[in-house]
Amino acid sequence: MSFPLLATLGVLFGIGFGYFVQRAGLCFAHGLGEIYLGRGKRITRMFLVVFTITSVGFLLSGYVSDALGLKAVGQLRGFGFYNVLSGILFGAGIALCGGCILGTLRQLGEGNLMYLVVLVALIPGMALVVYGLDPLLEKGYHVEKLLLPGLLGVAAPYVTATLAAGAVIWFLAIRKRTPRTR
Amino acid sequence: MNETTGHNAPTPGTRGVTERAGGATRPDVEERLRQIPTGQPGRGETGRLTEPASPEPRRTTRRKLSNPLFLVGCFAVLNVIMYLTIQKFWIGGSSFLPLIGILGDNHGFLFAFLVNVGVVAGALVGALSSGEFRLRLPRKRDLAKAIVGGFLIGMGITVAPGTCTTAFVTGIPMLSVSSFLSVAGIFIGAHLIYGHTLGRQ
Repeated sequence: MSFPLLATLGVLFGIGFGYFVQRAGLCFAHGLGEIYLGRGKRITRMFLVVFTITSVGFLLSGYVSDALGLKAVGQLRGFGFYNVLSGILFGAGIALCGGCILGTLRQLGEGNLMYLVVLVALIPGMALVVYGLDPLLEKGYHVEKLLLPGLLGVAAPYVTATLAAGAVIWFLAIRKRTPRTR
Repeated sequence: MNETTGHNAPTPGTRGVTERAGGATRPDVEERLRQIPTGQPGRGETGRLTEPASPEPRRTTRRKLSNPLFLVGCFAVLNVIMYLTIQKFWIGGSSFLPLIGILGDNHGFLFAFLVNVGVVAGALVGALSSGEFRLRLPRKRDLAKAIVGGFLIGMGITVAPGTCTTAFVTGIPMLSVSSFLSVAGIFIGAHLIYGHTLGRQ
């Protein structure tokens, strides 16, 4: 597929993502806020829905990926301490400015220009790591791309089914109990 | 007892009308209904006062379609469809690497950046269609937080690309170990900030 066509399809998918995220009000930074402030479980419920659908979808797609010529899921960069380090920096950042990446893009689309400042402020942070720290961190990178089933030595369907079932039970346990109105 | 209408409760046939009339009294509502031509909602073929053409099924459908959990489900399904059709996943932080001149193998980061340009456009469409769009300038007191927060996010997404917001949307559903580690770090980082700010309050 040529890049211009791929990019066009990507933008169209992006518009779909953005529309659904905006209408749902999804932002994982708000989810962290909910947890720490103990107010509501709105984002937790949303995450459980995303997790259940996507994990089952990715698992099922694995059965047709060879036939369709798809690359296998899990092609994220390898794991190591730097994942925790990146999470700490990222978690502190989103807690400070009040928006994860999805939330930042959503709020920008809603007209909140503070998140344009956040996006511009990403640039020096990224440049510092890429041009300053990355050569140092490169030595500590563990490049193996590892999925949980591989770590546990259990077949992927069992792990996915167990976690998805756990997510459904969790979802049902915390679902909003609203009185029925007639 | 309602002194205006002389009824303890709204008459069943006009209950919905009275409630939607913003607290208008029954005679007011009846007067308005008399001005509606026969056959229009709120007025039966015989001219008698009736329940307006029931909008309930349409309203229920609309309510279901605007349910945040349904919409988030659509987001998740779209993520899987994107993988099945063009073999790409939604990526968050790394998509901004083109801003510092890194386009990635086969322009992979540039593609992710364009997807996220689409996300902003989609959010704009959603906000405009729902009347939630409002142009807001940053407040001076929030600028420092936005700049420091953005700087930290920029560092975080580059130290381990594809494992921050992407971890919630793509990485954990893939059962990627790096994403579980990253989420553990996110909780630690958020705890440091919330613990500090909540402690000061």
